[in-house]
Amino acid sequence: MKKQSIEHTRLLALSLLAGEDMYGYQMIVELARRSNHTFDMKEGTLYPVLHGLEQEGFVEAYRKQAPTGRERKYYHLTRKGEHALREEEAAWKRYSGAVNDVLRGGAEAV
Amino acid sequence: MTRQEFLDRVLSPLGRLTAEERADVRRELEEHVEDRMEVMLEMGWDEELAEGRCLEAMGDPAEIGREMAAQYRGRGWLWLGRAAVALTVVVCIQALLGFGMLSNAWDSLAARIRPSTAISIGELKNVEAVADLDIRAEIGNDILKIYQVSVGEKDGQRAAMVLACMYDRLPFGIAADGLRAKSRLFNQRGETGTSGGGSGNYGAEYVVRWTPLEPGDTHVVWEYRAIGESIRLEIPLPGGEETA
Repeated sequence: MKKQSIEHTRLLALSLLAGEDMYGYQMIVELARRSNHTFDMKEGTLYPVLHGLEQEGFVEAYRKQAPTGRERKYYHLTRKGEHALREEEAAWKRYSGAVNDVLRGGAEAV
Repeated sequence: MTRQEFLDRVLSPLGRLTAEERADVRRELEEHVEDRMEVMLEMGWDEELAEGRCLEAMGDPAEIGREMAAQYRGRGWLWLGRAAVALTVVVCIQALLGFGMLSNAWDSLAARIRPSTAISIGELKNVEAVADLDIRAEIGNDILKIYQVSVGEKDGQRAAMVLACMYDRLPFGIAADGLRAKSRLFNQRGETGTSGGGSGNYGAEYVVRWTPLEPGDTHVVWEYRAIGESIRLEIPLPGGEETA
């Protein structure tokens, strides 16, 4: 299950960065807002995921001044990352679609 | 657990990372805690409680460190791969040098571009004239090239000395041996020097030959004689009639 949650975090991180470049804390805040606080992940675990994506060339990091006035490490989705996002998104939709089909079947059977 | 202790625990399994990368990880996590604490302090939290709450929200530092280390693990293999390639190249060059193959190829190339004249050192005294030549003859798959003639004194006698080399037509080919045994240098009276020298390997063979001269001589003749094959090359003497 832990492995699964890391896979999900990858997809969520890529998806968040598709809109704009962000730094880690900003991503956590944005994720909580968009998911209505459904994802209660440990915040520190986002960073290994981001560094992994960077190693794979899916994101690029750079330092920039944040609106708070302090410098932060921003992540930018690369073209390779956009491609990976589209693929993982499609895989996720297939998976969640299949889960929904099973759940619907179960509901009908009851 | 303080913030520093938390960060130290995250960093402890990251020995594989460079010092710069470790500093980067530490700074990034520190900044995260800083941002979160700022919000909580604005909400009126006590600083110490806020820090404890922030670190709790970060998760288990040992797990973060382990996961972070795992992201950089692939790179260890990348470096190992590069090291293996470099080592293979070095070993191959060493092996080729060991077999003499590289030096053969080098000699073969040098012979066609700038043949060595080192073999003539100390052979002739009171050198009157030296001329570079490029007289070539095809012998089988090889090229015989006569590339220098000089006139001077050998064993108290006026003499002409000629340098020649032989190499394969292909730059990395192997030169046939026997140039030394099959080559002789004659003057216009058919006389030849009693000795000469040479050197060589599979890449190129060098040979030096000499013959006594008399006033009035204008040329000497290089003879290459093998079974079924005999070549005679006339070599003009430098200075021509003036040497008479």
